[in-house]
Amino acid sequence: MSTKSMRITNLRKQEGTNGLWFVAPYFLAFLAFITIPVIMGMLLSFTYFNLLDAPSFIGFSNYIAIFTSDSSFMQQIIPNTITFAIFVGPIGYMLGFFLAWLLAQIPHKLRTFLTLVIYSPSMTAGIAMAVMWRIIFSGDEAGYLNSLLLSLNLIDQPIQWLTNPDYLMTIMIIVTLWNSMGIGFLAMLAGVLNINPELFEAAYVDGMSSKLQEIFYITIPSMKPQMLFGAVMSLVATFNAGSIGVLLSGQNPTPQNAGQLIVTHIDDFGFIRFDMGYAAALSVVLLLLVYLFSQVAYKLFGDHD
Amino acid sequence: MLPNHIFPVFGVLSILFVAPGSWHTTIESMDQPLENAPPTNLVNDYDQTLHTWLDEGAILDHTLTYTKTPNQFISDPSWVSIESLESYTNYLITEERPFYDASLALLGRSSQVAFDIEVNQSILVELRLDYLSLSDDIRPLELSVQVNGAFPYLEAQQMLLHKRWTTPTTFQEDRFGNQIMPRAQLASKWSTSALQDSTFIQEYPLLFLLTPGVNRISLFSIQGEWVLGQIYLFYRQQTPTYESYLDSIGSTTRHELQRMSVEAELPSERNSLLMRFGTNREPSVLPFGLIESKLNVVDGATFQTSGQAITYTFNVASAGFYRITVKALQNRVNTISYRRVFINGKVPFQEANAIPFEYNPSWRNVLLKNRVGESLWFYFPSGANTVTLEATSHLTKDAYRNVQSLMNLVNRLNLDIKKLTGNTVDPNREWNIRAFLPTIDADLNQAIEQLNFIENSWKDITKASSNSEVLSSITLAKRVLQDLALNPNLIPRKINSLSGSSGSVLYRLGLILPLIIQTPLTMDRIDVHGNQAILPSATADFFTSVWVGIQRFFASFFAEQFQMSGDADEVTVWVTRSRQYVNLLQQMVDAEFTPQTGIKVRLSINPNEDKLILASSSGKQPDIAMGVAGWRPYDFAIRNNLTNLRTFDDFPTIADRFYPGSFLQLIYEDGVYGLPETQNFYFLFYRKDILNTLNLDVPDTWMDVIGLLPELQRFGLNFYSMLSSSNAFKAFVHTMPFIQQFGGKIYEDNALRAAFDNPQTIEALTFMTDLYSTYSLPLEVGSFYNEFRYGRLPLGVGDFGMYITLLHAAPEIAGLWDIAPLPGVLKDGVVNRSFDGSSTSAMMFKNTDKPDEAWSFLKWWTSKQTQLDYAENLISAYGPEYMWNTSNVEAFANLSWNPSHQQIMLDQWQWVNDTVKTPASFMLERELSNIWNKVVYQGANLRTAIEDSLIITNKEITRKMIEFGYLDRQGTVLKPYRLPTLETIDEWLGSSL
Repeated sequence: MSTKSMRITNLRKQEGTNGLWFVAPYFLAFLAFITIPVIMGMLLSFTYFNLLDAPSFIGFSNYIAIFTSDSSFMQQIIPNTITFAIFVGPIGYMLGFFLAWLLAQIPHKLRTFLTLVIYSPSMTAGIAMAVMWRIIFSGDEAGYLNSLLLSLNLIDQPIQWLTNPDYLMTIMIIVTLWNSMGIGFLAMLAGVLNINPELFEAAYVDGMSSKLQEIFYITIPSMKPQMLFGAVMSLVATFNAGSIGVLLSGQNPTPQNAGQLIVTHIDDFGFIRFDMGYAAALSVVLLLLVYLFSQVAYKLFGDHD
Repeated sequence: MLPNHIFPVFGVLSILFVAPGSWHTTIESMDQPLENAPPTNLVNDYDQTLHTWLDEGAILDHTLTYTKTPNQFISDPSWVSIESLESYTNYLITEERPFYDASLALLGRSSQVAFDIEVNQSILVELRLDYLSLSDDIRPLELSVQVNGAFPYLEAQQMLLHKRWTTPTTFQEDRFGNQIMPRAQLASKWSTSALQDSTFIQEYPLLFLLTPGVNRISLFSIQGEWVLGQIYLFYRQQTPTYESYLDSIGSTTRHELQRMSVEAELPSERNSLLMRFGTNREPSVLPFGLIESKLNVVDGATFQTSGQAITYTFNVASAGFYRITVKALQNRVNTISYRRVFINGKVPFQEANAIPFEYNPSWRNVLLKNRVGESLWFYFPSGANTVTLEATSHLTKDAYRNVQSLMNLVNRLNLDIKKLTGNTVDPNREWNIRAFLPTIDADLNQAIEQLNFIENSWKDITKASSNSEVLSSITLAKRVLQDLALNPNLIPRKINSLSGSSGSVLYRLGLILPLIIQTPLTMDRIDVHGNQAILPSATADFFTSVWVGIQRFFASFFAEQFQMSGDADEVTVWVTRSRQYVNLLQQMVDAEFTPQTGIKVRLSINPNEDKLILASSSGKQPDIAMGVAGWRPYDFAIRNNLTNLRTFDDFPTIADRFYPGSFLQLIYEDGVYGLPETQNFYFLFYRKDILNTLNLDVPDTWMDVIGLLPELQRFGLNFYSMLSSSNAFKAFVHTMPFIQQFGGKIYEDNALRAAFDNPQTIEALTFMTDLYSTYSLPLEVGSFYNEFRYGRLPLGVGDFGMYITLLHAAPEIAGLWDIAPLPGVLKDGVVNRSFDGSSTSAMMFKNTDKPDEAWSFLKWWTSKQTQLDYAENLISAYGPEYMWNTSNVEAFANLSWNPSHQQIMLDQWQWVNDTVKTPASFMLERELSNIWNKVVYQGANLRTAIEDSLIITNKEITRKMIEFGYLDRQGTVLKPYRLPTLETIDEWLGSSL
């Protein structure tokens, strides 16, 4: 081997180690805050752990209990979670894309302003938001919505929006949609803006005749990475947004489990019933669900080359 | 009218009559007749009465004086003891008044004395008393005066005599160098004071009319124990004008350069403990602390109520005229605060009755001037002289009275209109209001005129421009009234703008009412000085301020007081309370407990109780946790994390301090795992004005409540029960009172099954759901406090927090509401008022290495004296809204709160019956709530809902009982679970296991 190639190899090695140094902070943080907790959670899910005594190993009992004897889990929480996910996930995602696309059509200054407006709900803390929505949906005559409906003579009696189980889920979905324009939406906006305008010109020359064609033939294919990112973000957000029901109704569990999702169920078992092992098992189930759905998203938008 | 609940229960003071009177003294609050006193139906206030008297020819301008000594009093010995002078010589030793030749009257909470006085023409006199307070609680002495068997005017029903307080001049410091508000001492000194109204809003003391012939004057002591010396009937002395004052002093020496100064936080005397010293961080304010809080000012937020006075002593070397300068901060926007100045106990001249302190956002050296801006001279003889500054709002009296009467007018209008239209107004209906209320135009015009008057007099007195809070509120209120006056027929639709939601006329008036008579003034230093004396600048220069800011920022990283960990030899205590509570307790521990016992205790704030769980699972828990929710200790106890307090030999004597019912949820198996700290109460709040207008009685039982509902609902009003809260989850504290009052239970005796199907429980649940589905109580109320203030829910059940809020944050209805015991269920002649009063408790962790020290601390903390001191210290340090609702029964009975309310709480307390916890009790709580929700919201059948819930609950109970080893998987009982009840709880609290 010539000295030159030796030197290159050394340089490569050195570059490799240098690279490791660059990755190290993130790697350590990921290890400490993501990997280890996830593994710990998985281990805990095989134990009985009441938070105060040491955990004791009980095998698959927690999982068996989830699928055989936790009636509210199978009867209410899974259906609730799926209903919630179906409405908030795809609708929120499509809404995000649609808004991003709309924003891309308007002048720059106005766009910046509107983007900020649309993005801001997702920045406001959950509590502040729930406080605002709780006033709007307050169940007495003083609540904004009730007051409006009463004054329009659409209802005779105030409706208990947040305490009546019939309405809670709908309101949860509305509120979550309102604040779902988060980082995924920003990524999609960036994606739309990044598309080379020459592509559109070329397509029009080739006979493209409508905006709809533009979206399906150019916009979406050109921004697949951002679409994937948005989809995964939206999925994760949807499954983790469970606490909205608790914030709105002011209690965990929500009235008659009407707005109970897996996340709040976990909280209930972990910190109210002191059954952390069971809660850990539930989180593993949640993790698997999220993984499953993100695989679906990957299949749809991923790079298959 | 009131239920018969005023019997004294505890061997404290035998309360012979109930005399309400609250912290913020209101003249209306004395509406219950004194025993032995004729019933009162007074309408006239002092100003009206005085006007009548003067019109009728009563003589004010005379120089007659009469003196009465106690041995001339007519008095029943069972009410008051007239003592000879000898037995009280110890009080008189320090006294500047050794000339008593006769006797003293010793008055207690229900004493009365009277004397006769014969005059031969109608004269007006002031009443001056020599008195000495014996009780050293924070409340002033209260008394009422009758002339010839009747109160001459409203104000005579409640008058206050201030106590004299001294404070040490050296302040103790806590472990971090923060100065501690020193404990004030009652000065054993006599006072002589003329009787004034309880708000101290009159410029001069009250006058009493003596008619020709024999007049009998009776004094009723309402609050406090005190010694009464001589009584003087004195003519009103005229204060000289400034010119005649200058002339009357022989000396003409006007000093030039002398300067004597006193720090404001070092007064020789105060007349109220509500005035407090505070910390101001401005570098020019001395003494200065970078990080530590030095007490360096008299806090204006506490020195703002008319009648509060603070006295400073100056040693004057050479007699003559001096200027007085106060280094002050008067930062209430666009207002003027007034102070009355006394030199050696006397107002020297008329101008000193109202010395203005104008608005300025920063510190200033304020040279005392009259109202037109001329600097004043004050004469000081050589030797020790006192300067007293008294907050006074007599200038705003008329504005204040007008706001009050305007609020009454608006309230009356509101009730009249509501009676006419009901609470929900059909917007499509046309009303002819003038036909129903012929005076409506006159009333509205009068209201507008009154507002104009208030506006003008306020502008005149404070020279305020339009952007002060008071003026903008007046403007907005006026706009609403003018709008309503344009077309009174629209008032029913706009009734909310008159008396309803926030922003209404009534709301705005209520907001400005207390503001009008507040005169806040923060003081740092008082100087008595010559004309040319040079005073230090009142503010620090820019560079000093910036430099201090930089130092403070960096010092905050290293300040020890913000660290959480304690030393190894300290008992660590985590307290879930706000900083004020924790700091004060730490100071008390350092000052009293540690020196007494040698045990060091470190308190830390624990903002979130859930942290205790995480701390325990990582082994970092403290020795003691305080301020945790009442149900919390059980969860730790059942998982073997707490010390069983019964293992301490003297536990039974400590448990005696509390009601047994407060321990119910602290028990697991044979052990007791916590001590109650604070107590919550549920009682009935009611609006006296509305009930009177509708001629309704205060309900005593739930049946009475149901009886009231048709009448209330006819006017669109309603009743609030604790189930109406906006939270869908009805916790045990909301559901269990009903079940216990009906005699129901939720556990089978072996605790292995829920007993929702117990006949009494079903009866209770039926009642709870009927209240809503049949009797139409409001299903969800955002804020009972607000609805109560606006009068839409004039009756309802609230807890102690609601009580404090109403007492201190509802000025517009002060005196218009009262409390009564919780409605209950009448059975066998007894009204069962059971309630769940669980509030906060303290618990000791199992792995503490200092159990005995920790136990000593808990014993000290829950003792009567500590609790009383803590309660008083909280109020004197942070203000009257810091009411400490201690669980220690004896301490509670000795708190100096409104006595009649306190008695109602004590009566209600006997019914405390906290809900027992079991491993699955959370499920019972949820399912009880769910049963109620299902029936009320979804119209489910109660029995079906109960059956459904029973299945879910029993499943969870079995699961938890297996988890904790009471059952095996086959359902065989491995060991019995013992459920404590009120009947059996003594087994746990007694000494034998």
